[in-house]
Amino acid sequence: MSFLEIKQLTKKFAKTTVFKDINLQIEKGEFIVLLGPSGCGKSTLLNCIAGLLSTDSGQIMMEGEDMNVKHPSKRDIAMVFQSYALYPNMTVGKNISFGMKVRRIPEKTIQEKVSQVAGILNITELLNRKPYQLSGGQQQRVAIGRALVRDPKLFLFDEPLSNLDAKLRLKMRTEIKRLHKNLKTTIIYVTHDQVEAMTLADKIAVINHGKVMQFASPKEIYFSPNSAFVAQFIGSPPMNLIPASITKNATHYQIGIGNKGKQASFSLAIPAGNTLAKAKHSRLQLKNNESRKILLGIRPENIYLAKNIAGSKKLSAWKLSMRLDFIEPHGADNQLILDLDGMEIICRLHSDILLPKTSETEFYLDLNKAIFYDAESGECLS
Amino acid sequence: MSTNDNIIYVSGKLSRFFIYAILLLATLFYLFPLYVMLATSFKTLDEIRIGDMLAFPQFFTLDSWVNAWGKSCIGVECSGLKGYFLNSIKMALPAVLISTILGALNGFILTKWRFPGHTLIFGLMLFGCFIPFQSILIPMALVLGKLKLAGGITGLIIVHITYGIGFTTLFFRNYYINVPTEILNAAKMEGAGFFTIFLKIFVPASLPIFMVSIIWQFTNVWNDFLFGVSFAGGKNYPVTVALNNLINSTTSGKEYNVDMAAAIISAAPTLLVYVLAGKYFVRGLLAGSVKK
Repeated sequence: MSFLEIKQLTKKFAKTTVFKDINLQIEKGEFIVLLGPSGCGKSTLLNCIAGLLSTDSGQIMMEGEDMNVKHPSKRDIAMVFQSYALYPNMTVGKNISFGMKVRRIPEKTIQEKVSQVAGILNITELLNRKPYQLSGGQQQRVAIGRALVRDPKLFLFDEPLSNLDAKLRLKMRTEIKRLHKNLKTTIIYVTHDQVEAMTLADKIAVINHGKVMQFASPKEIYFSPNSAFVAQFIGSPPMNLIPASITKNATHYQIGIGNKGKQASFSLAIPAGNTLAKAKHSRLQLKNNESRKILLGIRPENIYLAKNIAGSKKLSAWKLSMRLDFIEPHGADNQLILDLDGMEIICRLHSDILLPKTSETEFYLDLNKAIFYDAESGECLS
Repeated sequence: MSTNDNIIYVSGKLSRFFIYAILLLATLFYLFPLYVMLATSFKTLDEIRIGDMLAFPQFFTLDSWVNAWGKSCIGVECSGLKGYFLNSIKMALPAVLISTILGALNGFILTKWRFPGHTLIFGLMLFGCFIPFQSILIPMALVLGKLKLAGGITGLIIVHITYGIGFTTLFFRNYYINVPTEILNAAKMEGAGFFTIFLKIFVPASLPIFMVSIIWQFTNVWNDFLFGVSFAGGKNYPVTVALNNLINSTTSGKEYNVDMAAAIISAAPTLLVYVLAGKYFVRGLLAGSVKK
């Protein structure tokens, strides 16, 4: 049994279903990120776990106890809100101690806990200030302090960094990660920022239209996204998804792209033996001479300049000529915006690599690292 | 460039001058009646009869103020306004405080503790704000009669609270709707209940709108004439009704100086409230309309 189990959870607002049959199993001490575009239901899910919203069906079990029947304050869960939700008329110290006062904890214990938490978060000198006298980052820290002081079984973070400017966001992100490393308390963290998700999470639940698309480690989500949606949502810049068709013959897959001006095709050998590579292709389920429309997913870093690649790598690399539209320098790397038959393709090259001057240039797509998705459903076929 | 700047600068100064001149004129025009009232109240009756209405009092006297407060005849009773002034205080204080507190509670519930049908309830309360006073006089008199509260100050208080709740609810609802619900949720998760959240978090955070509600209610309740004359009687009249009776119950000629002094006495509390708390009123009305 997992620490937190969400089973068949469904939530409706009037007639619209926010999410349906959500299942998640979360282990103790994990840092879980719920990631998805705005309006996907991730914040609603968090509010249901907190008990601030009722659910329509399904269960939330924490350490084997049914949470649905428990009042939010009895769940031993602390939450940090997007707007920080500090009590405007109270000082920082009173903000942090409010919950303990409500629960009638002795004054001495309150003092000790407040100063302990203030020490951890470096806000001791702010204890007598009012929230409006604090900067965004300081308010954020107080909000975390208010959650921390409860020493809960579970922390919920609802987009805690989205009101901060870019630089501060980076700093607080590191601080939250360090906090988790030291406390080892389970955290569920909601964000729409995939970089935050990748850097913080032990496991990411990618949510879209009220469904968990994939629930896996950041590495797995990045390298084997199980649907076209996840593939394109994760990664900055996102994965290129190129419409293509795939046909099987006796020994090879024939992959073709383009329909109007330019056509190109590539013959990919079907791997022999029971290698991983073979298993990757089994879900295509093609009979001989049968073809299927797919999306060829390839990450920008798996596209190379042809002239830089030595012979051995060329085996499963598809040579394609693409027009270079322009280059976006990012410092450590350059992003090349390419045009393939009217379609935008992004290629990421290390900044050491000498950039081509001509507009029509030859590139290699590394098909070993490509993933196929069904053109209609977006389902993973690799 | 510099000549251009000069022209703009000069024309700026000129338009400033006109703006201030117009504002000054408007202020004088507006304060004019007050001046006439004050000047007349300090004059003797003889001076009023012969003199210029605008002239400054020649023989400064407080007699008319003393008379208006404690000696003038209202009907057959000759003890001035003071008893009725006290009636107005006895009526206004509870009416203002109770309607404001109820409005704050309603506003809190209608925005943060919603229940099915909350929009309908709020709509009906708003509707109540726009019912003309005259149309409820008879039904209200019947109700007060049934409650055995007709003719007394308690009945008047109840009428004013009932009429005030619509406005105070509107004030507080519009104020609390801008307070993030996340604050409520945070407090809920920490185990705070309805009244703890209301009293410890929302009330202290809503001082400006409390001022607005109190000033608004106080002005309306204190200045009310119609309810006072309809539902109170005899010794229980509020000061507005007494003022009217004082002016109308002249034995000899019209004592303009006493009338003026009485009118100023009746109006003083509301004027005082505006002078003391006017800035909170403006602040509170603006709160929420502009993002911080």
